[in-house]
Order: sequence, then structure tokens, then C-alpha cells
Amino acid sequence: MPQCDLQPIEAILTRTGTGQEKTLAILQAIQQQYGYLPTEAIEDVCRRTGLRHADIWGVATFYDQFRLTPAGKHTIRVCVGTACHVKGAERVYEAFRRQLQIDPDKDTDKDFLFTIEKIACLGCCTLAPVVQVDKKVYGPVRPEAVHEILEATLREGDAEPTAPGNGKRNAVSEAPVELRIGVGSCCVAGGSMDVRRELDQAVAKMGLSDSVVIKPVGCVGMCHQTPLVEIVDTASSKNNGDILYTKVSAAEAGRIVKRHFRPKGLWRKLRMAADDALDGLLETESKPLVRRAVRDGEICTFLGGQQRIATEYCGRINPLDMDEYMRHQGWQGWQQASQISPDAIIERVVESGLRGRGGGGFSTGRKWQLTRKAQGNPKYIVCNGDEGDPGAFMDRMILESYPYRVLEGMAIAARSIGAREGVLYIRAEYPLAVQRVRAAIDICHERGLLGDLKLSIMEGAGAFVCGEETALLASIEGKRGMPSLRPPYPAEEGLWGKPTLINNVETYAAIPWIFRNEPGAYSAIGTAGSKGTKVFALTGKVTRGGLIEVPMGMTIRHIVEQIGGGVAGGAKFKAVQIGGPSGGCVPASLADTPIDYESLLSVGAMMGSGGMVVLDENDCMVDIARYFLEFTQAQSCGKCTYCRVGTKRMLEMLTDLCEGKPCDLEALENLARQIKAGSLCGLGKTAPNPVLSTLHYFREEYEAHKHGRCPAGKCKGLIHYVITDQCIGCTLCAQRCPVGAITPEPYRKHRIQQEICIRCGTCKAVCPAKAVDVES
Amino acid sequence: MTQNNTIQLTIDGRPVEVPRGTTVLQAAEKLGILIPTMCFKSGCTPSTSCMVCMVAIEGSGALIPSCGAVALEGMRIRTDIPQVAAARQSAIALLLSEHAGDCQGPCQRGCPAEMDIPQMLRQIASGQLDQAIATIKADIALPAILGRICPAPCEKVCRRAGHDAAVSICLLKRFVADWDLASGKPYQPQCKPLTGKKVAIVGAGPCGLAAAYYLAAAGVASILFDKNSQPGGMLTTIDKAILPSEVLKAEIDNLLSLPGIEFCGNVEIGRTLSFQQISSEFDAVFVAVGKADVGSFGLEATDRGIKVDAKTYRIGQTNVFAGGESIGRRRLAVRAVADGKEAAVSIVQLLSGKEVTGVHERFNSRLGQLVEGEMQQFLATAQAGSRRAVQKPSDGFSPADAVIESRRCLGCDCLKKDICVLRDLAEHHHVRQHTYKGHRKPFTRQTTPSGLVFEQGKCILCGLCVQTARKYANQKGLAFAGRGFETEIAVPLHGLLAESLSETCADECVKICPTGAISRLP
Repeated sequence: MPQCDLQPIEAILTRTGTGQEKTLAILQAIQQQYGYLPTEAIEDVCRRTGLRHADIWGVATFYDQFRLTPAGKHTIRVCVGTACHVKGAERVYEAFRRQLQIDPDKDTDKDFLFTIEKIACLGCCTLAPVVQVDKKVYGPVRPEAVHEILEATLREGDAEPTAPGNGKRNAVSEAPVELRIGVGSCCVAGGSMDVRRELDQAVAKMGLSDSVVIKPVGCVGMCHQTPLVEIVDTASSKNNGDILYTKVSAAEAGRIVKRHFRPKGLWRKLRMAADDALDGLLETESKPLVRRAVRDGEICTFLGGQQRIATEYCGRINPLDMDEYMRHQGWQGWQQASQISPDAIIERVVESGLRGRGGGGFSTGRKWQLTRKAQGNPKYIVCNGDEGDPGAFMDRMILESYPYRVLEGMAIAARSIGAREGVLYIRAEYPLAVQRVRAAIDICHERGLLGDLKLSIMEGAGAFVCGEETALLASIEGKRGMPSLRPPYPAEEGLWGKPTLINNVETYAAIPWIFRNEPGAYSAIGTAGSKGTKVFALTGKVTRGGLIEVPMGMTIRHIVEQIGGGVAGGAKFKAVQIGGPSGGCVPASLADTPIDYESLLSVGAMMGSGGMVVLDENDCMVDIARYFLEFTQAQSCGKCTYCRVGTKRMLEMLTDLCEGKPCDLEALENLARQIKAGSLCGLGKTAPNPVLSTLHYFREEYEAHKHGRCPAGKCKGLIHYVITDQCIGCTLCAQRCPVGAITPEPYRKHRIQQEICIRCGTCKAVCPAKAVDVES
Repeated sequence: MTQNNTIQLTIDGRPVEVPRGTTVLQAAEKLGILIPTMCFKSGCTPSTSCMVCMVAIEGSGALIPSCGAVALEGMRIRTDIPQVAAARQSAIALLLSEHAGDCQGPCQRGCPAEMDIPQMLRQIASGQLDQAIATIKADIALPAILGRICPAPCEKVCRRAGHDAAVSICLLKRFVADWDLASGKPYQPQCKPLTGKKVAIVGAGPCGLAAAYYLAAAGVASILFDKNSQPGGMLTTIDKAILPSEVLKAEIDNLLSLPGIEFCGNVEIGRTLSFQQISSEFDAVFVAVGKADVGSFGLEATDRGIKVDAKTYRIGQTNVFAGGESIGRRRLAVRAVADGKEAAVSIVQLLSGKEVTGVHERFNSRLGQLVEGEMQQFLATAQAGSRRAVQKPSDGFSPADAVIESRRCLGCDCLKKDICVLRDLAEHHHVRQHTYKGHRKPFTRQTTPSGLVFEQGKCILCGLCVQTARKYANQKGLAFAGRGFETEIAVPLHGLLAESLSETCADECVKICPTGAISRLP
């Protein structure tokens, strides 16, 4: 290994600062510099800062983000979130490894070009399965097409996509027509930056820059249709003339502009006409544009029935345009709140009935009250943006799309408890959210909107457990993200031992609405025990996935069938996984369960942070349980025995089942109950839920696995692929089989050599005659 | 109303008043209610990780770790309900399921007399033969004799056999015993003062002699009756080339010279003296007559031998005990010697008015099959090279060879097996090691030149060593490294253990570590 150059470290430390709370930032900067954490660099940091070897080593080895060995030039992150899992992420991961010939015990190819990692969730669930290569996100990725991604990466080299959404640059002029382009992560992953570039060019080319404004907007929620372009005539009094284009490609962008606008000036008109004629000659088949009016049909059903509070003005406002935010009632809630006493603020929140949206569902007003009453100075306010549930991305979307709303909510909360300092802890996997919130804080500070409240961002480093509030605080203090026993609750002894208010992103986002509307307006929505609305990430095997916000009390069936358009591809609806690794699977037979905290608990699920993954008949429930256990096991902090060892033992039992090995279901269930009862923190206490709920509702599938059968045909160890008489002898399967288990025999029925087959499913995916079956 | 600075709570229904901020564990201590702890030591910050100190909150049934949970006003705690016991049990079972280490070495478990072989070998290796003989005689009363005739079941299970060849345990034991007999002042145990109780031992073979030895050590006098004029029983029939008469005589004479032991030859019970007579005149009787006919004793017997309780060697609820060949086929003399030792324990229990339960069976963690790389960890500090041989079977080891051979031992046993909290808890809570099956941690061992031993596979991640190391400045210390199941205590930055802790700090870590993860070679 080459000796590393320690020259840059001094500058890094000057930039980051040197206290223990800076440990994560220092390590992040070092990794940025060297691509990993060289031992010499860490030693040098210890020498210069007085940080202890033991502390820094503990942190460096705790968080997923940090590498202790050099990485390849490019990093492939295969998302293994729930939505990606059910759509075959594992196969994509294996395909990359095969293609790159990475040794089983390594994560980097021999040429050090690519390092591959699994990532808990990229939060682009509607594009599943998703892969991020360096900063570019691809989705959906087919295992048989991974070589294309690798080739594209090598071709494009180091070119980085331009960072979207800078508030100042995109300041909105009062132009009559807006071309709105979604710049949420899903849209960006779908290629919206390329679309935007094309739109920019087309508008400039046509001389429309004065009358047409291209406006980046936050998430529209219809992530299944990304990228989205909407044309809005703001001058027009009637709003129903808006036109929405879905799944727009860069190539189509220019044509959209041409279709709607006339070029300015005669010379331009002439040139455009010539261009069009040329285009017409070049384009042999002119694809019709997808054109949909907002209030029509399918999109309407998707948006209808939803009620937007945390995600209000969805798809209509530029995330960082402060003036626009203000035109849309921004800071009015703050104005209301600043005119009443802190106690009155709290009273108002209590009255609203708002409960924590991070999963626990504790009364928000009560939490504020406790923090206000707590002895100790100063007091801190923290925003928990460490959304780590695989299959959930509402916090990411809110931070990306409505950063000011979250900050406004925090400002109101800070006033109520008397805090002057606050931290937004945001997962490192959400670079766009970090970037937008950072810009938003700067703008707020510049404009003096936050008064004497000072807010800063702390970037996580990849540890799901840091979503647990005590672990999150430990992480902010620059330590390993280990939860601690409560009480004391953070409200009494939180950050640096001082009273600290921690709420989740979505909770803060609901606050401004509560204050600028009539008392009672929020509590009028929802059910007796669960007020207001809840944002869900609707993903999985549903026709229309996306980010939705619905009033509490809506049934699962309504969400899946009406909003989501039912199960995609005509398969049978089997269950909904709600609440991610802490939640459970609600079977289709209980689809009329209303969505509220208590009802979900009563059916063995939980609100969690709001992931909602629809499963169909092709999903194996044992595999789903194993999947979640694998996740929690990997994310366990390793502190308490039940979680650290217990979840490992459960995972082993489930893995045995998925491989057709014997397993004592009673023992599995007993262990699950012990872990639930005994674990120290929420992660461990809820980790058994996916197992307990599937055991309860789908026990027959467990029994089938015990006898070596996977009814859904999912568990690799229990299935094999066969080619039926439908085979037309096209040899496609043989050509694509990554391990040569099929011999090409043109015009004859093909055969799979089972002893070679790795059950990757490529043959089934590529067969044009549907001649590949799965047998269990 | 209680005063502002104290609170009241109940534990197992008993009220207690404690200062605010007191933990539930401390409150229970005040009531004399014992709650087991492992990861917590008084004076340290509770890590609430091992979860053996679980208690339940009445009503909600919620389980909380008492070491870290602060007692609150009006709390109602239960420590005595099945739910709490089950929680503690499963926490211990989970810890054991990943535990990578043996309590006793395989050799000790393979020895019918459960002699602490690894300790003997360490003592030989460091030249402490006077201590080695004490180690041997704690379990084997006649080592010079057995050192010549024992087929050494211990060597068959020696882990080193999986690499090259077993350590020559039996010959080394003989080496120590011969050295002892030749010393002119052979080893005798520290015997307790005589209690006045007297036991009749019928048969002065290896089993009876061993019983007399351990009874004497416990302060109980005995008379060894034998139909022959000389003691030794079946030992006297062994080929003199294998077991020379002078060795036999020297070792038995040394045994018979212990306080309270009397040999009475030419007495045949059932003929010379009636069995009923001795069983009524003596406080207890131990029958160790070998294959001899016991028909006249009036004891219940099958064709295999006298019927006794398998654990206590006691016959029914009487004061009569039996062992050795008289209760069944004993292929090995060492088995007969072990019977004598174990029966002595039961007899002492009876005579001191205690419940007769026999030898207390200790919990033993077993490492089981080694996985790849683990043998290298064991071999790292052991003497390389093959097993030392002797010229002819009757030869013993030279002192130099004995040292070299003893150093071939892999030291499979746990250096803290007698003070390990995990072992004690497993035993106390009746936990089976394999309640939960699954992958255990890998066995690793680092040994510093000063004899500090660090075995991560035995660690329960309490972090007491990390806390301890923190107290000492100017050292790298120890860190929690990794996350989840892979978490371990490690030297930061893959450094060297010897350089990361000062000697004082290391000693403190050895003391505070509740298991054998951090220990020191004697």
C-alpha cells in the first residue's frame, strides 16, 4: 500500500474543527480526501487533535460509510431496500459481482475500477431495483443489463451530473408560463436533469426566456411516472389548463417546448421550421407524446383522496425559492406562533392531537411540554432526518421539497421550549436533501427569519440505529451511535446532557399548517386517536407507486386499490408490509383495517415511519421476514444481548427455512418474543415484528418451507427453473445465462442443467415465449 | 408525602425508600434481594448490555435492566416471577450460543477423575513441580500408579491430536508423581482436623484407597478392610514390569500415612465381620470390593453390581455407599479412583448433616469443532514439534523433555474458569449451552510477552475493559470496534495489545473482565 500523503490533514481539521463532536465530520472529510480511512491519517488526526485512538476507532468501524481499505475508482451502491428487494435487488447485486469477477471475500474488482456495496435504502423505491454508481442513480435495473451501466460509467468517466436546484439561480421571475420539472431524487434518478437541460436549450433557442420560466419543483409524489414536466399558465385564471407530461425523456423535452410555444421573431421561426423538417426526416418513428391533464383519469385517482399538509403545494413550488414559499403561506404559521406565549404554542400543539411521525406515535405536544418543563440550560432542538427504513422515503422527499416548512416548524418548536440552537441530523445517503437544507438554512439566516435560533446540519454516516433518538444524540456528540436506556428521556437529559426536543422531519413539517389554520382544523382530520394526515411511501408491486399523504383512518384497501391502482401486472394482492423492519405484514384479508396508530398495532404491524410495500402472490412471506431480519441484524448496534445475538439466531433460523432445512417454529416464535420483551431500544424491541406477523398470518408458508417447498417460488434453495414445451428455440436464454447452464440449440427445446444453474432468473426474464417456469 | 430527595418503591412486594437517582439494582441490594449482574460493576457506568439483571415492572410487565434503570417513585418491581427468570435464562443462553471457548479443556472433561490437566502442564512447564503434584492429587490420589497403567482417555480427546499428536499427558503426570515420591517428602494434602466420624471402607483397591485419601483430607477417619494382607487390591495383580512393586508400595504407604487412615488386612466382611455389624458401628460404609461376591452383605444388586444412586453412590437412604467395580464394570482404574473420590464427597455430605447430592456438576462451555484458522490461534503460543517419545515403555521423561512436552499443550482451558461470572450464571440458571444453535464467534487469542491473554471469542462486550483503559492516559487503550454481531473489543487501528495497555491497566482489566476474555497466565 502506498504511503499516504498527510499534507491535506491540517487543512481538513481547520475546516471541520477538532472537538469530539467533529469526529464524524473529520472522518468524512478524510474519506473524501483519500477514498478510505488510512491508518496513518487517523493517527495523524489523533496526534493533532488529542482525540483518543479508541474513540475514533470505535466511530470509524461503527458507521457503514467509512472504509478502512482503498476503494475502486467508482462505487456501485446496490439498493437493497424493501421495494428493491421484492423486485430482485439481490439478483442485480450478484450480476454486478459476476460481471466484475469480484472475489467472494472482496468488494472491489482486481483493477480497482469498481467497488460494490449494498446500501440499506436509496429512497428511490418507486424506481426499484435501483443502483447508484458514484452520483448517478439508475432504475429500474435489470440484472441482464448491468454491463450497460458499467460501460456507461467507464465511458462517462468522472463527469458528474450538475447539482440541481440552487435557490438563487432559479429565483422565479413573474413570467406568465412555468415549465415545472420535478427535481426530487426520484425524478433526478429518472433523468430529470437531462430533461431540464434540454428544456433550457429549447427555450433559449426559441427566444422564450422572458415569457417561459423553467422551474425546478420538489417531489410531485407520482414517482411511478418520473420524470415529470408540467406546463402551467400562471396568467390564466382557470387552473385546469395545466398540462402534465409523464416519463419524459431528454429527447422528448425539446418537442414539448416546440409543441406549446411559438418561437419569438421571424428569423427564429424560419430556423425552427427548417429544424422541424430535419427532425421529421431523421425520426423514422415519431413517438406520440404522453399528454395528460392533471384532473383526468388515472393521475386524478392517484392524487384524489389524498390530503396534503406536510407535503402541501406538492409539485408546485421551487424548493428553495423563499419568495414563492412566502406567497404560499410560508412563515404565516411562525407569525401566528410568535405572537402567542410558549405555553400557548404548546397548548395548540396538544390540542391538534399531533403524534410523532417517526414511528413511536408519542404525543408531540406532550413532548414539547416535557422539554419546556425540564430543568437545564441551554436547551436544544433536533430534527431527526435519519430515515433509514428500507422502503421509506418521505422524510427525504419533505427535506428536498419543502426545506423551509421543516425549518419553520423547528422555529416554532424552538420558541416553545426556549431553544436557541438546533441540529438537523440527515442521513448521508440523502445528499440532495443535505444540500437543499443547507442552502435553506443559509437563506433563512441571511434573511433573519430564524431570529436567534441557530441551526446546523449533521450528516449521518450510515447507521439505521441512529434513527433511535438516544443513538442519534450519541452520534451528534461524535460517538458510536449506541442507544442508551430511557429514562432519562432526551426531554430531560439529551444532547450534552441538556433538555433536548427531538422530532421527526414529518412532524415538524405539519406544524406550520397547524398554526396558520383555525384551532381544531388539524384535529378535525383523522380518527379519534390519530389526528391529521400521514405521508406514506407506497411502493412494491403496486401499479402507481409514489409519495402519498392521506388522512388518518383511510383503509389499506383504499390506498392500495384507489390511490395505488391495485397490484401491477394482474397478480393477486397478498399483503402490505407496513412500518418496515419494525412493522409487520397485514394480509389482504385485513385490507379494510384503517390506517391509524392503534389499528395497525392491533393487526401486528405499526405505523413506523411510513413505508408501505405492497406484496403480491409471487412474494414469499418467509423470505420477506428473513429479508427484514437480515436488515435489522446488520443494523443492530451490537449493544444488548437480545438484539445482537438474538436477531442473529433468528436470522439463522429463517435462512435455514429458506434453504429447506429443518427449523423449530415454536423455538423461533419464543425467541422472537424474548427479543421483543428484552431488547434495550426500539430497534431490538420491534425487530421480531416482521417474523411474528408473518408467522401469525402465513404460518402455512413456514410449514411448507419446513417441508422443502416455497409456495411463492422465491427461495432459491427450494426452486428450480425448467423450460417448457413453449420453447421456440430462439437461444436467447442460452446466450444470456451467466453461467452457461443452457446449451444453445437453435429451433429445439432448450434444457437447463440444474447442477450449474444459479437460479438467477435471467432466462425467465429474457424468454420471449414465456417458456421458463419455476418449480418448487 | 415522601421527602423531595427520597423515593419509595416496592420490590417483590416489599417497600423500600431510597435516595432519588438510586438504581433499581441498588434498591434491591438494600432489601437484600440478589439480582445477578455481569456487565455491571459497582463504580462503573452501567452499559445495560448483558441483560442478566432484568427485572419486571408490575402491571405493564415491561422488562428493564436493573443496573441502569433509575428507581422511580411508586415503582413496583418484581424479580421473582417466571418471566424474569426466563428473560435472564435466554440472555445467558444467547451469550453462550456465541461463546468461543472451553471452560475445562477437552482433556479434563475426558478424564474420568476430571483432573485439571492444563494447569498441571503449565506448572510443569514453569518448573513448579511442587504445585503440579498438588494439582494432580486434588483429583487423582494414586498418580504414580495410574501414570503407569492408565490408558489415558484424556490424550484421545487432546485438541493437539488434531494437529500432530496429543500431549503426552499420562507420562507427564507420572513424571511429576515419580519426582514427588523420590523427593523424600512426598506430597500430602492439607487435611482438615479429624471430626471424630469414622467410615468403614470395604476393599483397599484403587477405589477404596482413593476414598480414604479424600475422606482424610476432609477430616474423616476411615478403616480400610481387605481380605488380603496387603493393600492394593487388583493393583497387586499387575505385571511388575509395568507397575513395579516399589512404586506401588511407596505411593500406597504415603497414602496410608495420612491422619485417620488405618489399614486392616486379612479381614473378610461377611465372614470375619458381619456387614450389619460394620454398618451399625461405623458412621458410614463404603463398599469397594471390586468383583468380589457381596451376596452376604444383604444389598440390592443386579448382575452388573450393587445398585446405587448414580450421582451420589449411595445405596437408598442408608449410610452405605458403593463404588468401583462393585457397582458395575470399570474398564479403567482411573474410573475406580474417580468413584472413590466422588463417593467421599457424598459421604462427607452425609456425615456433616448436609443433603447428599454428590459432586457438584459444573457447567462447561464447549468450543466444539474448530473452524479454519482456529488451530493456528491455539498453536501460536504452544511449543512446536512432535510428541516426545521415551525409549521403552517403562521409562519416564527426563526433566528437560518433560518441560518441552508440557509446553506442547494448547491451553484449551479457560484461565478464569473458576471465577467466570458467565459460567456461574449459566450453572445457577440451569442453562444449556446449545439452547440456541448458530454460528459462534471465531476463537482468537493474543498473548503478550508479559503473559496478558486476550480471547475475543469469550467476550460479552460489557466494555468494562474499555472503561478501565479510558482511565489511563497516554495509551491507545481498547475500543469497541464494528457493529452488530460483529462487534468486538479491539486494539485501535489494528495495533499491538502489548503496546496498547500499561501493565497496571492490564491487571485491572484482567480483574474486572467478568469472563475469560482478558486473563493472565499464572
